[in-house]
Amino acid sequence: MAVEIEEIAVGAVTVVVVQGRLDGLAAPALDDRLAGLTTRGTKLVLDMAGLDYASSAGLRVLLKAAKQTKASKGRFALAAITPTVEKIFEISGFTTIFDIYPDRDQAAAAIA
Amino acid sequence: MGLKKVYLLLDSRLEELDRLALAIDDFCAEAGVPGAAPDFLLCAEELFTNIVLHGLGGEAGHRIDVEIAQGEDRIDVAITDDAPPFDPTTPIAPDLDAPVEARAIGGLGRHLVSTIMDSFCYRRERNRNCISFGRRVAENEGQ
Repeated sequence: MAVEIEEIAVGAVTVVVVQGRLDGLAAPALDDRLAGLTTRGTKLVLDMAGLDYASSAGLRVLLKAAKQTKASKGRFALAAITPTVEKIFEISGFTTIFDIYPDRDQAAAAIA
Repeated sequence: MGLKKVYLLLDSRLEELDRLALAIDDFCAEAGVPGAAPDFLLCAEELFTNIVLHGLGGEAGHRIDVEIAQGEDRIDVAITDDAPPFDPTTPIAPDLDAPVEARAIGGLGRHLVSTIMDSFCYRRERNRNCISFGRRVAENEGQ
């Protein structure tokens, strides 16, 4: 499995820890996992400290999660983006459309 | 750096992304530029995925050839497939400033390739699409 996904509760915030490589093959697994959370008004943080790589298929999943969370009156934030993924975000214009925090705890505190 | 070439025959299934990733990681490591691997991997994945999902409609059993080649100061990748003619180098301009609700993601892969690489070419040859891309790599592009 190219990507490992783990869910942790931090107070009222759900932190989803994503590790590995978020490529076109792995993206549907994350999409499935997030689908159950983003439609319920969840306060959701994606901890990306262990994510080495993301392709546009991965970005598509993040974008969908952000849209759905917003539509269900939840909150969505990203934490701890690695340099490789940040570069892809920048080229795609993604750094401006997500709330991004240096680490999981700051992200959770910001949207709690 | 010495010159080197690697050929890869892939089937038109997304499961092949693992082999593609391994081949590119190994190639860049052996070429002495491991730090360049994510760029080449990203672009190869974007194009491979587009071919499988859009060019071939997700149909397995088509051969997709990948050639990775090291030049004097650059790495180039060529991908050929038997999907209907499609030129991915045709410029498209995704709206990078649109708010999250309005963002469409189509064409983002092609935008990534044309931004990251310094060459991105297409030709139709013997009923196959031939896409090539590459960029200069610096000797110190280790990690």
